[in-house]
Amino acid sequence: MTDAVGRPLEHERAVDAGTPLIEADRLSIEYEKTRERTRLLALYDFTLTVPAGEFLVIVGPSGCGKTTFLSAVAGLVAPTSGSVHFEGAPVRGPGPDRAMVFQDYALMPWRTVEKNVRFGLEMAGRRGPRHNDAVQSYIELVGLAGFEKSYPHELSGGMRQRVGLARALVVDPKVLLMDEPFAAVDAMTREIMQGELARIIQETGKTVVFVTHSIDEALTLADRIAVITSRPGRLQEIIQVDLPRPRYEKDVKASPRYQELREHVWGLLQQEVSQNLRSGVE
Amino acid sequence: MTRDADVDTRSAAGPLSPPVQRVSKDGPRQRFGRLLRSAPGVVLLVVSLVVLIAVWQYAQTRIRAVPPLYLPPPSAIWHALLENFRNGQFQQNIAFSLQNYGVGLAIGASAGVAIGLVTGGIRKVNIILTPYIWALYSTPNIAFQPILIVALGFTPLPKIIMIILGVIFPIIVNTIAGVEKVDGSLLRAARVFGANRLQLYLKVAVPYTVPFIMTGLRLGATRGLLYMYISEIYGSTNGLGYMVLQATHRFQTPTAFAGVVLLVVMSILIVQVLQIVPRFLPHTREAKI
Amino acid sequence: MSDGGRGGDILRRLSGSRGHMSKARVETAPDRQGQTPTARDGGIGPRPREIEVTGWKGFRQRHWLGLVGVLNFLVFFVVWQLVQTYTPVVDTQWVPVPTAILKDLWENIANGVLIEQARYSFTNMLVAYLLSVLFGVPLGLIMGVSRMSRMLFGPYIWALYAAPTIAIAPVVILIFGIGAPATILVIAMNAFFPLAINTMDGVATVEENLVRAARVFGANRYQVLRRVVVPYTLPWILTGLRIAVTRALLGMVFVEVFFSPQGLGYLIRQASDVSDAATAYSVILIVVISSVLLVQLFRYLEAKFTPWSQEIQI
Repeated sequence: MTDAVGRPLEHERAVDAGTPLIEADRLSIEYEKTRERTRLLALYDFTLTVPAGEFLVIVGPSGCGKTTFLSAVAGLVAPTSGSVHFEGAPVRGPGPDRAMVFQDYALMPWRTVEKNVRFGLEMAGRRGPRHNDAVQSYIELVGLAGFEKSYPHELSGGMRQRVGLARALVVDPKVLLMDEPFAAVDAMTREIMQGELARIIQETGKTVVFVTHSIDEALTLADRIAVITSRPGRLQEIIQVDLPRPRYEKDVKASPRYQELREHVWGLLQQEVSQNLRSGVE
Repeated sequence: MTRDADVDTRSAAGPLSPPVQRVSKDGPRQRFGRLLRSAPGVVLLVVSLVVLIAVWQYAQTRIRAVPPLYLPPPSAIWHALLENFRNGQFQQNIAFSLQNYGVGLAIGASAGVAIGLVTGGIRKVNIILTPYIWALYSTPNIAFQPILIVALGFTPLPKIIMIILGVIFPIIVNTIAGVEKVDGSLLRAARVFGANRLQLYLKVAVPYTVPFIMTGLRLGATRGLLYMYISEIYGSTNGLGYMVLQATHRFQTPTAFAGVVLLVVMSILIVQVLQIVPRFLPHTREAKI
Repeated sequence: MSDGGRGGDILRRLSGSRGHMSKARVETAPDRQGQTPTARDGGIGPRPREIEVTGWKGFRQRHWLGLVGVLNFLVFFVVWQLVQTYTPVVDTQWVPVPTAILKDLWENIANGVLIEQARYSFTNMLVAYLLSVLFGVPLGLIMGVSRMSRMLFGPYIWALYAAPTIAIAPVVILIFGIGAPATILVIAMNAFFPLAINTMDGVATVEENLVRAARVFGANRYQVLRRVVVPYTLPWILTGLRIAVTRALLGMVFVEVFFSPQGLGYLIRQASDVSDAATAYSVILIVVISSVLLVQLFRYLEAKFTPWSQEIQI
């Protein structure tokens, strides 16, 4: 089951454009930097809508507020001005309908794989055989069967992130917030994990907001790509990715349309980076 | 990791600080909070010390919460401090103590580094010596003092031996840990460039170990100071520890407290000096263990 | 004793030979040999595992260090015995032969003196130790979690940790008189501060992202404390417990040797005063052995209960 590579998909993923799941409206977020006694404007006047069922990838240079946006949707950070709505209601704090996958995995080192996956269920007070089955099935889904009793320090980076993914999926959230989840794993593992993520999302039909540095990762995974400028983070452009799925096939990456999109996104980012270099920001 | 002895007051926000960071308009509370956070630790320490001393003074002169014989007010301790400096008591005792301490520290530190480097670098020596080093490192070595005093008399020698026993083991143990922790890729790199075994040891392992030695030195120096004090409590007619003990025997508690204050000040000074010195050595920070 | 086998000879580490380690590390998992895990299945594939070497060779490898340790001590004591018997380096009045020490040790155990004094000593120590754990760990947690309490107590706790608290012992004994309460107080004063400081320091290192993760999955403040902060701090607390044990031993021996009319330390002092070096050494031997055992016990607990914490611990 680890090998979903090459499985053909009959149709495009169904995106219900009618019901926006996440709506950020003129969202600005400021951090107070205690040490320097200054404030950092992480996001400024950021407006973005994510419909249910979409795979949205946010691309931008480092420090552009991508993670801040995820934190705002997760309810870890409150807006300074503007608003974030989830299913029509303003976000007031973390909730079981929004789960997150972290760049550095954020696994509890004292918990086994199984217990790490179970964490969200425990917090929600959900125990019992039905939930045990769910834990087991998600461990199998991410391809970790047999490693239930292992501790994170016994696993490789790719395996740890599989645990992080299962932990997020098992609470059955409406949206999966993924903060550069594959940034810390090696290139080969990364490609395989991308393919598996695409498969799992296809199977579960989850909405995903995925943050990355990598244009290729964005093009491989996204329905839409949101390109963000840095400091303050503002939405620059939204790109519809009209590439056929599955995309890990050679011919998709070799197609002229892929190259075209790639160059377009690259152009946007390059502009941004060179501006920053000139102004000495980055 | 800094779990062991490297202790630092940290100003990092606690993990339970509110997860939702609201940046609201400045109220008086926020401003006070920011003032507190931005105030350097030294200022805070001074302020809280002043408050403590004031409360202590008031409690012991006006209310007399505890009989002043047992807990004299700060003013009495201060007077005892001045008095003993004026009549030369302190100078004489401190000179005696520090002389022993200096000799013990010098011998203990150089022997400790040498033993640590050899033990860490040569496996056979390591296997043979490690049990004894660990046994003596874990044990309160003051247990040896009575027999040393009886054997060697009321001379500085048993005191110096005690100080060496205090200084040497933290240094040995830290030095060994440094040699053992030498970065494998550094060693491989040196090998690739043709270093032989001796060169590997002298040009890679020993420099790598310097920060660990600094940590050991700091721990050993404070432990040595404690052993200096202890070595004078019994079987001595001179020194800081002797003075404190004599003062308690004569119920001169202010003098005893003054002696303790002096020891604490010395200890803090030594730690500070040993933390500042490495900053002036190139490429040397204290190892975080 | 504990670390003799680890990486002792840096030069040998280069040659690839793992020396006398009891287990061999291999780069691929036993069930997936021949393939690098990441290349085949996207990071599925465990980290290098350890394979047991069996048979006589395995036995020798596993117990080599133990055998060497025993031999090591045997040779040490035999040499000591021979040297002090035939060509004494130090006057045998001050450094008696091991057999004399063992004989004294046996006598003192047989007549019950040693047992009785040891019981007195370790009861005091246990009470003092439990007291400092009872107050030190919660105080450290509170200081780690709450900035306000850290600012209020932090400087004093830190100063008292850095200062030689034992120096105040003569005054404590003057106030309370020599006896179990003063002894317990001195021991507790010694053991308390490393516990509080280590716990506080541990809390300061809790990874922000773990707290974020717990929050995202719905943990409230209490749950964050219980499920993230306390387990994360456990290695630091255990280290604090170990440092506290050595400092408690120091306090105990200090009070008993110099002030107390009871306890193991008193036996050492008394024997020394009448130049009975053999008895003094036999009691010192007991102190050394119990110190080593206690410290090793805590190292074992650290390794057992916090296997994820891989750092070198001194």
